[in-house]
Amino acid sequence: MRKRIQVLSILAVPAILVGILLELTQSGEAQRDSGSGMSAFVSTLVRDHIYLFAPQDREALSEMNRQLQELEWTTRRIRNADQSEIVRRREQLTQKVLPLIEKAPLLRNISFDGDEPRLSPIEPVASTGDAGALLLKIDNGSGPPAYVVSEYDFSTIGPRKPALIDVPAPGTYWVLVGMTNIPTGPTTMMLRFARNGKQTWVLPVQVKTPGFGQLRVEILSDETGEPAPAMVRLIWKTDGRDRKPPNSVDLAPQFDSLGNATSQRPANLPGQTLRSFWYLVPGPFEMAVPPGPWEITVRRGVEHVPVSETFEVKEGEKVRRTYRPHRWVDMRQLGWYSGDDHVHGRIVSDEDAAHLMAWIQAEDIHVANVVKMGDISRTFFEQRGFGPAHRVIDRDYILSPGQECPRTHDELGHTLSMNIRSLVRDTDHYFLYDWVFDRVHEQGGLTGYAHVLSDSFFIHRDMSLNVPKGKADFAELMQFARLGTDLYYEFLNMGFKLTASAGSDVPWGGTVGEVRVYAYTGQKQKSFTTDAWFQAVGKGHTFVSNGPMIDFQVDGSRPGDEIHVTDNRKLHVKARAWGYLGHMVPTKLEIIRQGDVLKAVHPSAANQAELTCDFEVDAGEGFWIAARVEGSDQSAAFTTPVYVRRGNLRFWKFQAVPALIEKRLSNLAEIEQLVREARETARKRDAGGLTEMQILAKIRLAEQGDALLERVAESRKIYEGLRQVMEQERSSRQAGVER
Amino acid sequence: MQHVLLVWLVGCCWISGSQALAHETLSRFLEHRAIVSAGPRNIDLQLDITFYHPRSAHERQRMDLNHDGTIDEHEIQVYLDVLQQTLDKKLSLQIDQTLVPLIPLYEPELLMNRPRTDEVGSQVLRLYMFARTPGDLKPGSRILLEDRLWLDEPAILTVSVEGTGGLQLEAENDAPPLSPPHLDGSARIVVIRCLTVPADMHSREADNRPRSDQESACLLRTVASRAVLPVILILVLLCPAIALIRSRHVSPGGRQ
Repeated sequence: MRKRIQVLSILAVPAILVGILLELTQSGEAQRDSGSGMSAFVSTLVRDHIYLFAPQDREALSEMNRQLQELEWTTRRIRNADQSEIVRRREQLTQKVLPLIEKAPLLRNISFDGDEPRLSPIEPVASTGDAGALLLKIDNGSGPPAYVVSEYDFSTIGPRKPALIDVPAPGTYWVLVGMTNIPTGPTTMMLRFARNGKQTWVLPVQVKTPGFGQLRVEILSDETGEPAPAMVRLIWKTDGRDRKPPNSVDLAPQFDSLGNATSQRPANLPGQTLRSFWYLVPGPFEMAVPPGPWEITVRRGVEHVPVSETFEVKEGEKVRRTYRPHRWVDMRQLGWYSGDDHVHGRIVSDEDAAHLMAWIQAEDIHVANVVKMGDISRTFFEQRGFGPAHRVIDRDYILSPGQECPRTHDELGHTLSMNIRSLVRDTDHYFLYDWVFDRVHEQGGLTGYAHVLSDSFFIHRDMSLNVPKGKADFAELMQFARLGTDLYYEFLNMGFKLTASAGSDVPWGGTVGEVRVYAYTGQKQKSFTTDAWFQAVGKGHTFVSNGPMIDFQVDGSRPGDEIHVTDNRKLHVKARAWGYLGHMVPTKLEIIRQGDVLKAVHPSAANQAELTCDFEVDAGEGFWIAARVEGSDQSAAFTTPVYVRRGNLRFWKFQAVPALIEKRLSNLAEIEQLVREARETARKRDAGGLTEMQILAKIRLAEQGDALLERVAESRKIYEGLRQVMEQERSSRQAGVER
Repeated sequence: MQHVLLVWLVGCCWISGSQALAHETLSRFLEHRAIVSAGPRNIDLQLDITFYHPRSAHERQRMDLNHDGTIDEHEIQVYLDVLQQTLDKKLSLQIDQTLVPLIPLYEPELLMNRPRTDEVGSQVLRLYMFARTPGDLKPGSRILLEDRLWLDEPAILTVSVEGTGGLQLEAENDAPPLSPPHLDGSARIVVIRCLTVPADMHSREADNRPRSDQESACLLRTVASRAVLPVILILVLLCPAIALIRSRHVSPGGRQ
């Protein structure tokens, strides 16, 4: 007997294990079915149609949705969850949610008299506007509840093609039909029901939509009071969706289908305004709008305070709104003019030019370097010409054609050129960036590197090659709402000058001028011209910003200037950073010397719109010194340095130089390795999974390899020479330079 | 000769079908735009992922299950469903080094001009998630959003942070906006620092803490206890079996 029990026990163990496993598997299956779409139903209801509910019920429904999603999430995470517990929890939530939905004023009940559907109440469904929703409760006998979400677009579905609602089994069906483009006045909406897998019935539902109101919006320049272009966001608060102003400029065709090739610009702006999309509105507009509350936000670039207002439009009413965004700072008055070094956009017609001109005026950017972009295979963003004759000028707003080329992605990085007379591009010299830089300089243009802020596309390689030769003028330190200075500091700390610049890179970026470079052209009247602006950039008289403004001087010298000292005298550092109360204020002003914070100033009181510092510093053995600002909305600003030179000493960070030279030599070794790999690819004739462009790049690189390696060798010599300079300087520095 | 070589190599590439479309470099990037809004009760995340052309066209081809060139609602739903099943692993949130459940808030959305595979233009995948704000959130707390979506593609990262209900936050913009592929599987990280919390944060949290949290915990406990029961049962049943085996094994020698 005892043996039998033992044997049975042994057999029972696997049987029980199998049983448990089966039970757990089944419970998992059951859970997936038991939701019957309720969480998706409630989630769509809350996201898109919360306006169907009384204001006091909205928060409760929103919280119910969170709890439902939590339950679904927990259920998915725990496969062997207790089925009964989940059912109990779902039932609890259902008991809370459904009474709320039943309270919705627009809810319609459908029952079946035999096979024929009956609607109650039969009064027309009062839609809130040209977009809305229909909530239906369909009683199809006893059975588990089910939830259906459907869309009905009146511009594509007419009476000939009724919307189909499938009611396949007994139970109560909760149906949400999102409606768009609803005609004003009474409309009959045809709903077709497929019931219990057989018969279909068409049920006409009357929808009554209020007539439009009329909205006229005018945006004025703060200076002139005349209508001016602006960036606008217009939201119908009823459903929270934005509406496109009728005259908004269609920028998309000028983007060559690249990047964010849309007119609805997702601006990378600091602060809360970043979260949304903007339309470029060139002037006043008027449009028919559904009645209800509306929210409009108007921007005119960082020197203006955005305006936001909520107002009501009633059916048949004409509402006129006029906005005049306040210019909180006019940097022109202080001699500083804004620019964007990196704007992509085709200009082959006056209409194209007018679009981009409206855009820079809306964002209040005075000089846009509109760049034709190239790679090894082709060019993009066609321009109708280069040079002064092809600048587009409207008062003090200028579109100036430039280039982003050469531009290699896996090799040497992207370059920018400004103020060119003709496109400089020769694929036989494509990897010899200095060849392009020299020709641009011969034309009187400026050259620089794009995306330096994030060291993208291996830009450090060509910087290591050509910055020591003095071939590049500027570095793009700000983009996509970020300031990045790490790589930039490395070159400054080796005693190489580079001007700080910034560019939006639209259409990959959001909107022109979302980051900007300010250049100082002088405070005399009419001192601003296109050429004066480029000259100022060439001299390094710049700072970059997406919010705060800076005035930074050392002994009266501005960013980009060089101060020569013969002894360790005191230098007078003055800096001012400012914003605008209620909009953006500086939260930190730092004076950076050779990459280190020399002085930091924080607000001493809340709502301080300005930070200043005024102090003396020893000239020491020379240095570079710059100002950096952080804004309360996470905006930032940074100046090109003032360069302080003591005698013949370089302004470099002496102790850091050996390591930085090693880093640069290592970057040059990367270029040598690139050439070797390219030659190997060409020799082996092996595509190796590369794209056509990568192959083309490798072949061109192999062809130009000898010339490139010669240049690498030259740069190596420069770095070796710097080592010797270090040794020569060491004794002077140890002796305290005639201190 | 070089020209012939070039034609041959490009031809090889084209025939092999490996990434045959010429790439426009920044167009390979996906834009990850995180919009975080946090209050005393909830932390909401909207993540917009923008696919630029031609990468967007590749993604639409993936959606087009029946290869008819048009993407219908069912195909979009399948695409979004498959994606949503992976979100638990692809997106996570840590607050002060503690993992906090990041839960879908609304159904994801796909925004595109025309649902066709040959449409030229970008498209946006919009994900909505939320987490419950922990009661012990304090000034200095660090919120880490770990994004593992499309790690093998380069990314443009932007983040917008908003505090509500007395909470003040700021994003730490240390990571460069242009991010290369993370082929090692490491997440792209958005760091948000909590600057201030409302004075009544803890009492408000205690008052308003949705019951669901407690109930979720309760559900977890229930499940855990349910998992323990079979283990105990198995052990109880195994004991006699082990005893039987042991008795058989030791009995000959033992009785001697």
